[in-house]
Amino acid sequence: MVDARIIDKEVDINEVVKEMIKNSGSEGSLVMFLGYVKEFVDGHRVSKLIYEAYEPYSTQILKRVVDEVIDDDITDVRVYHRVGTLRPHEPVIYIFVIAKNRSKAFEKCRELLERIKHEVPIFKLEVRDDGEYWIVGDGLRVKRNSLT
Amino acid sequence: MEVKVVYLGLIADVTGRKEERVKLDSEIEFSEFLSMLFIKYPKLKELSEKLELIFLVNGVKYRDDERLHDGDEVAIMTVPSGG
Repeated sequence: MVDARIIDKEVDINEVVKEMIKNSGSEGSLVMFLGYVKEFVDGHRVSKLIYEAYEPYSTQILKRVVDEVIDDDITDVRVYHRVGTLRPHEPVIYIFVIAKNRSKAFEKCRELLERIKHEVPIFKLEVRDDGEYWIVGDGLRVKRNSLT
Repeated sequence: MEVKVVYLGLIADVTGRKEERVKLDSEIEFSEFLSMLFIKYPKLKELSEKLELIFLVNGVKYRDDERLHDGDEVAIMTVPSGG
């Protein structure tokens, strides 16, 4: 099964894991990645991250990336990325992978994460105690209104 | 003809709007359209010299020689920051 979506609510991790394990056959492990909002960045307290997507294209690109990454060794994959306003410690991205062997599951989970972070049009504004920052790519921070 | 332009993330701060509709006399190459936008928004041109910008036409990365057609949707963004 393949399920990849952009969502605005928290995922019940136990429910997803139980369902994936129940549906599996000869496999014996599940790899999961969970990304969540940091509380501190560069010594400053973060109050929230505001995520926005470009729909319907963000969902289309997310699904295409998942299709391109998985192969016949992947028997079940679920990817969920949240948007909206999220507070520190709240989960953002969930990746669950069951494969025919665990090394493939780890490899594909990591590959999915890296490609999603860099290719799916999702943008975040970090609101913290010293101002608001747009995050560009892998961590470059541009102070809001510094370019206008 | 008319195309829709969507400004994503910090690009919307630079242009002062999230989207707009642009009327064109005829179909033009994307590069020509981009030059028009850079004249309208000099700060966008400045930004393009500092940061990598990504351009989509109807959700797909544009080609240099691609021509814009009536009803197309152009999106301008920085490198995504998901996760």
